[in-house]
Amino acid sequence: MTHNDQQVNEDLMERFSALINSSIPSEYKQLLNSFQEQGNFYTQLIQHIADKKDLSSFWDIPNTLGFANINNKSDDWLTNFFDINGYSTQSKQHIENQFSSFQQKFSDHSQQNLKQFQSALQKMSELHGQISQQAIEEFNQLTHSNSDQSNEKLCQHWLNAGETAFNSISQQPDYITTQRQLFESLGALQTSNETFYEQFSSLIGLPSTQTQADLTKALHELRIEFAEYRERTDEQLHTLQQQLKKRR
Amino acid sequence: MLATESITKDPWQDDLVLFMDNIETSAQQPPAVGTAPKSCIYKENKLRLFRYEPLKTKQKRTPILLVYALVNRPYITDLEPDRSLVLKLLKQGYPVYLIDWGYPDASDCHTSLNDYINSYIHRCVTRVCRDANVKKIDLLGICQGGVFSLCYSAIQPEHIRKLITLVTPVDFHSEGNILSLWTRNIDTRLVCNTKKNISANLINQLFRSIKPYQLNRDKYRHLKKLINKPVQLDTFVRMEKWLNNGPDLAGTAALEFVQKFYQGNDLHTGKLSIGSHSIDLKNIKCQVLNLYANNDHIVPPSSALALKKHIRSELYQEQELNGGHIGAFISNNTQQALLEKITQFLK
Repeated sequence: MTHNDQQVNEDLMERFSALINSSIPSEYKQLLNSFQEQGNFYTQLIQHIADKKDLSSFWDIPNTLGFANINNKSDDWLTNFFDINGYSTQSKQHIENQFSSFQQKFSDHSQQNLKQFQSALQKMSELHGQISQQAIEEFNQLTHSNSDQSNEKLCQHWLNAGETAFNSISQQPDYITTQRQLFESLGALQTSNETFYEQFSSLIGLPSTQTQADLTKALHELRIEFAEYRERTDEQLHTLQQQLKKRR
Repeated sequence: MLATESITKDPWQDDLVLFMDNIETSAQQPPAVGTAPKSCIYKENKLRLFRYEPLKTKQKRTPILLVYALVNRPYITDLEPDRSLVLKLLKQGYPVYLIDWGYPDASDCHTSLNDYINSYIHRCVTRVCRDANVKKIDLLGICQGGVFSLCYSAIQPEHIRKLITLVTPVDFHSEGNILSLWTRNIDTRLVCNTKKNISANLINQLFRSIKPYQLNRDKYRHLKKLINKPVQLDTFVRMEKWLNNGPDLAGTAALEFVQKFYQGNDLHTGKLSIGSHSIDLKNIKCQVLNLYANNDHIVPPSSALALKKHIRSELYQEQELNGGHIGAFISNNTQQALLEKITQFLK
């Protein structure tokens, strides 16, 4: 890259940052970020193809799903799973920090859950590696059998190779079982977290989650009952109005 | 043979510059969504029942009630004027009503499928009947809203004149249903919790992971097309907003839906019960139009087409639409065919 190219890049980034920090609507900021990120991705992909470097990282699933890019911190997958009823916006501590502090106090059962989760995560990483490997083979086949080597075509090949590999592996029993184990162990961890919270709440005299659940359930039933009552009343009023109209 | 030329310049750089030029000059306000004029005729907790303002055209007698899924927002049916299914129906003189489920909060986690179908939909149907002064209405259910509409029509057939299902799954274990494969054997007691809602982010992530490379990267690759046509950029912004604007799912209903539909396939196998009602699709007495998309990665055609086995042949029609799960009813290419089929069916 020449000095001039470098200067152009720096100017571009400066302008990009100014726009991101400006008062334009957030929808456009999000789009700009996405386009800039994906632009970088495809530029690197084309560069790697030209330089004949290893391409496997370009089909990395966690990265593709946004777990490791600048807008989504790597802990987002955890937050997404546990962020129920806006928990994360109400909590002053990050979920992963809470886990770290609670981890010492986890019961043997919770430690077991954590081990199962780690094991499923490791297995899933291996399967993601298989997807990348299969995608490379697909990609090589596609590029060898096609004379068009334009950027557009190469990007299309990248997409087709990735989706074909993912479609094939993600429907196999091994992938399905591992994904199930991953979700179940995450769920079990969540339950452990709730059990700890329940015990802690009890210690400091806060109402139990069961009490809260009973209250929300009663509120829900009350809402439904009221809506049914209102419906019956409105129906009767409507019938009476219709009868009055007919009499007139 | 791989490309061998050395790349020194970012091929997306010029596009990004143009994109920033456009944004600086024109993007002062995000494009509006759901702009067809409407008024709320009924409120219940988070639910809103809307009646769209009729256009100056000869009005049809029977109203249509649109029932959308709990996942994502129903304004997709009125995303923008040129792609608005609602507006196109209004232009044909149909009185159009829409159920907006709203955004469930923590206090709604106990809302069940029974509540959605036998309470919310039922009350909306009776409200529409009263508002339009008719005894029967037409139902148009989309995706999960189509499943709810099928269940409702089987339970309360006397209220429904005609039923349209659009991209609606019936056989959840049909070939190519990746969501079903992934969820079929999950221990739902560990993953879902009826005391809490399911986060919209998690649902969004799940849908985006069905086609990870296309839905997370490739759609951002065609920047040039968007820059050259500002209208397309507006559509893209609206779609992105819709995709990222989904509600959380009420925990109880979400758990029931996974267990009864994705895992048990109860609707297709005739084992489904909602509240105290057993659902037998053969109880549907009205004419049914089943519209499915031939490139649907969420509801494979085979899943939607299974409806044929449950409806008496003289009452049943089906129509293939070109496109994917959403494109089938918002794409300019398919909307005309979709509308023609709907208007022909509703005559």
